[in-house]
Amino acid sequence: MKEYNFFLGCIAPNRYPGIEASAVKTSRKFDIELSDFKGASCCPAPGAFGSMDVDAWLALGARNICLSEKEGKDIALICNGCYKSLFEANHRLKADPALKEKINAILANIDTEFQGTIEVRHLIDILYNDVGTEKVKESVEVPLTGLNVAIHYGCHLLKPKFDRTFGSSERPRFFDELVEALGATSVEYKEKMMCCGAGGGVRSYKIDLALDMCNEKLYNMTQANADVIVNVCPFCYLQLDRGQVEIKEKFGDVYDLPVLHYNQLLGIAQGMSPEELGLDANEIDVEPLLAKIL
Amino acid sequence: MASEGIRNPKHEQLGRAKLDPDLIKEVEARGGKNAQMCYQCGTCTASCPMGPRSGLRVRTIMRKANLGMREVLDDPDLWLCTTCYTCSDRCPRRIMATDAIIALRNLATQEHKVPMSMIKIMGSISKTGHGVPNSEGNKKKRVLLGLPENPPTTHSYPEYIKDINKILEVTGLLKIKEEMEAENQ
Repeated sequence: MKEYNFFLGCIAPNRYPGIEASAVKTSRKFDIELSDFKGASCCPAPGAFGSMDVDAWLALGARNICLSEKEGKDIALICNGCYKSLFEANHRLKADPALKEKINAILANIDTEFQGTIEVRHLIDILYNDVGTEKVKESVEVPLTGLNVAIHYGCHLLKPKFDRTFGSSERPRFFDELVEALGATSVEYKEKMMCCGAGGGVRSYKIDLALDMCNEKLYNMTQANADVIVNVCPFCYLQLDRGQVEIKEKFGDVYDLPVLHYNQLLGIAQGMSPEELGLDANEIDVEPLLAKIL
Repeated sequence: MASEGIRNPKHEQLGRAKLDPDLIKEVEARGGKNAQMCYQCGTCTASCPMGPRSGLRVRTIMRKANLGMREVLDDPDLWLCTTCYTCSDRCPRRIMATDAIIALRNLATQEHKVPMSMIKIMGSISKTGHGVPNSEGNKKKRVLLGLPENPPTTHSYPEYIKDINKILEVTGLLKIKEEMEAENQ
């Protein structure tokens, strides 16, 4: 069994707790234990917080990493925003001694020192690279045959590519393979790699523009006959789910396209009930989707 | 010490008394690496998903930063970048234009030109440790899932919040927050 400190971030535990619950439950099927990570905070939000002060953003991210260093555990997380903050803080401080010294000078004020002794992993990376699609496939009890999935990778999982390990950010395949391992079909749609529109603090600064971008994505997904949007970022999830309600109010466009985190889709395929995956917390009703596959 | 700057009669006519050659150095120092290498090809603007629906023009921002036009810090469109990094991944000069924009936003924050929506997020982190804190309705949803009402974060261990505020204090952000809250009352 491999144990990780489970970094929750904000939106998963505080808005869509089904994402948190499904990650823990589905990971146990692969002998991965996601443990309570005591005292962790907001990563902090890279776009909004990093925009105010990059050094403070790195220092607050490093504070979270240092808590896990003290326990000697690697970090697993389920949000692309958290991934940007913690993965980048971790590898930048490891790679750049001058930056490490600068951030450690800030951390000295709280008697903390970044050592660089642990790894920060996105759960989708662990599933693909450590567990592998074959084992994921073996865990399936309810194959999702005939389900059209519009995959949304989310920007900060892949970009900037020179600060990541996934290779191409233009035409990646690993997430598609993990969806296909469940028996579902990953549909090709226009501008698949486009941003959801929420990041960088734009959703809270100018929501109409954030939603306009989201609207274009949703339109492109429905044009490809998608039954569901699957993503690995609770902030994209919120934008794509709650955003549909806001888009209906503001622009009158209706999609009714359910949104799931990959761990929730995996949970359905592993035979878990919609209730234990927290699907009832969604704004957009998942019933039509469940009727199609269960 | 800011240098005298390059005087340009055209800019003086437009009310721009001088250009600040240190601006681009500040941008590079704050993470916008190699920003001076920009040769204005426009791949960034062409790749930007926000561009077609707003006034955000990444190439223009890069040009203004390189010319030392500090008024770029007053541009409200500076805050329309969703930080998707498409421009950065496609830049033929390997410039992180997104990081240059973030660096300019950092400089704007120093001058109290940051939107209050950002300051509110900082306020929430300062108070609870979370940018998006828990809610009563969400606590019920958590319990139904077999999870504790509050996650094992600063919500369950508020004694860790003082360290967060110490970092906000020593980096000067807490002061900016307090001053801007007072200015906007």
